[in-house]
Amino acid sequence: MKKILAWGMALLMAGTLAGCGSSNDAGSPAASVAGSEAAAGGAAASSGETFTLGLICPLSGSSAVSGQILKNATQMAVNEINAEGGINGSIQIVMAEVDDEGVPATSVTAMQKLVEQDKVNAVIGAQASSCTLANMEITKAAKIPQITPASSNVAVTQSGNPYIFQMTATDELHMRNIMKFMSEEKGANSFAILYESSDFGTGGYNIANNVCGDYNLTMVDSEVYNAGDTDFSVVLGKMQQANPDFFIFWGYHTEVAMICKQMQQYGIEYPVIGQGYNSPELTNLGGAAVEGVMIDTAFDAANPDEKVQEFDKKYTEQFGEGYDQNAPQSYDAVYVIKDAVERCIADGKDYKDGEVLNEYIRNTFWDGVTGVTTFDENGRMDKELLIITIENGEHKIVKN
Amino acid sequence: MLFQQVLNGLTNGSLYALMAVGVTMIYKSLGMLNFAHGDTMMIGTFITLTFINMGIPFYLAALFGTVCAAVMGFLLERIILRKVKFSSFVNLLIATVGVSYVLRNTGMVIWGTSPQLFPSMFPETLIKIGNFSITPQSIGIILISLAIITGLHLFFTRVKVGKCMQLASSDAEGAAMMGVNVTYMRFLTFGISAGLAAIAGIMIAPLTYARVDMSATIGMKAFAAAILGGIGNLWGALLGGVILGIVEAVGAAYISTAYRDAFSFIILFVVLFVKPTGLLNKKIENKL
Repeated sequence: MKKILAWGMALLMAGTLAGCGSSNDAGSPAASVAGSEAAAGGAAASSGETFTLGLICPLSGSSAVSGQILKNATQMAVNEINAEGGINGSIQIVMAEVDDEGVPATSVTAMQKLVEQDKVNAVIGAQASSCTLANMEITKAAKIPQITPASSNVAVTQSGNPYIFQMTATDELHMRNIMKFMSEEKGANSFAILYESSDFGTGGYNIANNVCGDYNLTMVDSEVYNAGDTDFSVVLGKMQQANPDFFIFWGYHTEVAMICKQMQQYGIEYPVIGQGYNSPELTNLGGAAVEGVMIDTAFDAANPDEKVQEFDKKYTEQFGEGYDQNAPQSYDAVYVIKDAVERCIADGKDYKDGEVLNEYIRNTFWDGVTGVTTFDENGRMDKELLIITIENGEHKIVKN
Repeated sequence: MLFQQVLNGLTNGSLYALMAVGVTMIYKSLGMLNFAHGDTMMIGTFITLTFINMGIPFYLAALFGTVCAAVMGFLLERIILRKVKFSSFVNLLIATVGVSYVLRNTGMVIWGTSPQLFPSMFPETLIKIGNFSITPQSIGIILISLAIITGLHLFFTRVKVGKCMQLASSDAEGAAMMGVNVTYMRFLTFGISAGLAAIAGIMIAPLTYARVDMSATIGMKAFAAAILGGIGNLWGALLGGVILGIVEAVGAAYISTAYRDAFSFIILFVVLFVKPTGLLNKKIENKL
């Protein structure tokens, strides 16, 4: 018994030590990197006044790749602004970044470091919704505005926290955009939805059920499948029998590619629109079967818009690798903050006061890479989204 | 609709059966479950895919893939299981779990984690007969599985080596006394089992894509099918696989697609409750 207790204690202590180690690691190296980069970028500083921008995202762990994209895009915007003299032509942006490993608990510690040690004026992040939900309490208590360019869970802006802004499309926004498009521009009256049995899929189904009335659409059938299913003949047969005007798919590319193939095989022809499967893999797996499938998205590099093309060129040149929609959203988030600070200064207010800056961010009207960004009273991004389709294996914009 | 679903169920069921036969063979010869069976299938499938991508004709590539998997089965027995064998039953089991992880992670390193398109050996056009339709692929899968299992049955009952394998697995000591090389027979059993897994994988992959985690569900269904039919029994594996496939398809059609996987395990519980030895095994073997 004593032995077991002793081992238990030893394990517990080891665990605590390891925990301390990782939380310390999360901050220090990142801060030094940010420091040196700021020093390099700060050569053009004129007034000596600085604005500290916190960045919190996963730079290690399983979502490190997405975190790196987020960081690259933020850094790109900051470097651009600093090279032109800074915010309002004189205030250099100093970046303080921390790694939250995509773990909510770590993200809270990391955010505390940003707020207490780095004394940030505003924060961009986090990536995972679970992390943002955990760490936004810290910024709320410290009255510091926080913009998440990636967390899409509706709960983020449902909690009544006035300091959080969601600069990414929520699933509800996607669904509303789809329904508006199909009902107003395609004259559809009814639809059938096929969704995955995950949080993401059932969330989509619930939203569809709640909002379809707003667009005079009737849900004539709803079917569900499990990730990894391979035979969709039953669900497709039922959806065909219901004979809707169009199908909504709410799932990931692996299954959607397969579903489209089976639709082709069984000769089931309906317009398909949805969200979740915007991946280059979709065309690799689905081939000709996914031709004409429509996807709702906040950003697509196929958009001929000058700003989009410029962003695409700059990002690819600097980092030489692919990116997702979080990149342009992070990039725009930096400019939204810059714009708010400048409006603050123009009105003769103190932008270092979090409460004041927060109000200016709330009244944002910024025309950036991802289109015009505005926020509703909950801090949720309000935006017309894009609808793209696949034509000859390439993305093509259907609706801007 | 019912007939259509039974037909769909038969397709998946024959694949489960083919996998279950491999599981059941190993169980019979060593008295344990081989948890690496599903991953052997995955490796066989990906090796085939690699050969196809190199421009080797489909059937030749499939043959190479199957042979490679069989060789892997041999190696698994020779290098790992033979060393662990004399310690305990649990150690053997855990060794196969370990092999499963090694195979899957090696697969991830070599082929990546995203699903890959796998060519089908059958045409994709639908065959319509009256009110229902079937793909040539389904017919092919059912016939090939049935042919392989019948062939195995004949091999075990008519061919000398097969009979020796059968004898070595049902009574190792007795077989050894009769001059059968039991170790060699186990070696062969592993090879054949792994080869069967690869064939199943090559037929499954066009339906599900080739993916490194393909063993997760198929592997579990194979165990369920083998146990349902009565583990250690060749025809039991076939029956178990087919029942699982049909129950899944019909349950999905009439109750809910979300619970497709649950149906197969519910039926397993029910059968084991009523008949603990599985459907085709008669007496309870005293394994303790």
